[in-house]
Amino acid sequence: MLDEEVLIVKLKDPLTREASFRTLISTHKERLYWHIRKIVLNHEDTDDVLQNTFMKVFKHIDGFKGESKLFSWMYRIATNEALSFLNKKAKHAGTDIQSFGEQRVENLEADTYFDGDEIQLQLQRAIAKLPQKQQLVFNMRYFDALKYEDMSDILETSVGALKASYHHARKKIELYFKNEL
Amino acid sequence: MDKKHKDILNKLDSNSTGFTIPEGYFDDLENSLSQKVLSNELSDNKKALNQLHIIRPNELKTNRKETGFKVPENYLEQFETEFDKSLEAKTANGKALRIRLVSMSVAASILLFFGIQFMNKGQQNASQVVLQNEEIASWVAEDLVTFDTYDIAEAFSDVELDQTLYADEAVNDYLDYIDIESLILEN
Repeated sequence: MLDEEVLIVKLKDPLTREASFRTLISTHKERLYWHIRKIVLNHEDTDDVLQNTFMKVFKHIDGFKGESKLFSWMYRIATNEALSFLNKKAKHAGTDIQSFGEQRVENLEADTYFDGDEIQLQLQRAIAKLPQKQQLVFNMRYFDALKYEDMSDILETSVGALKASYHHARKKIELYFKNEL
Repeated sequence: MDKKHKDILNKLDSNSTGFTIPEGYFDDLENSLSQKVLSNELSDNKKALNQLHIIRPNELKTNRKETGFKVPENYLEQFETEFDKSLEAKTANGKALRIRLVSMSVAASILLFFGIQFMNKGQQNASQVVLQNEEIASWVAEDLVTFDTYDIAEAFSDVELDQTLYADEAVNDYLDYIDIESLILEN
């Protein structure tokens, strides 16, 4: 049996659940953190969303059927949690998620936990202007170097559509740089 | 688009986003996170139990603190089924007892009525008749004889009941006291 399958069996067993859950967090915490961070941008909100993600994972692990990789399933939960977090915040602020994202990028300059240079800040501004799905695809491919097959599993979108989406995202970002720099 | 802007994404270090984290943030994350998640799960279970006001046997087993007390194997799992069975049996016994008491009361009343009739007809055998009626009532009360109202009606088919013998008030009191539905079902 593969390591992941063993871990899933242990996660579903009440006797080994707690210990294996620690292993699960230990294995995936960093990747999930950075995935969420690139969506919600600041550390405190990322910490909240990461906690919610692991709570959902723990709560629904019994219903995990193994149709996708555990990692993909967790990535999908993290993505949904992050987007739903932003949607709630945007609604509370009386705006849509797109405009809200662009406003949040402007807070990065004053953020203690952002030390990027001008180009990196401009890149975040350019990403924030992309449609939500293209933002996800760009972040996952450009920064995380995820395979299209894995992205397809996580985002439930065909590989072809993802490639097209990434291509459009790159073009738009390059155009943004051309206009801004 | 000139080459400079076209290549900017290639030149950028895609491993560096500019985002940083508090020092040591990841160091103890699994412990702090699993504690939070597990305590939240426990609190969710407690909330759900409080809302339902029901403690299911399996949840009781998982959440209870150790006291040293034990129960027979499968006792809690089978408790509801056994409880239902026992309740059903008790209800059936109670109903049978109530029906038997009603039958006995009716039979004793009729016997007493005929006894009085005999006493009014002649004084010569009065003591003997009273004695016999008392004996019969005692047999019925002690459940030593079994017969129903049909048996009585058949045995005394030539006797006509005096309509004026019972006052309306007494009949009303009797009907208030007795469970009419049981009488109908029984007779």
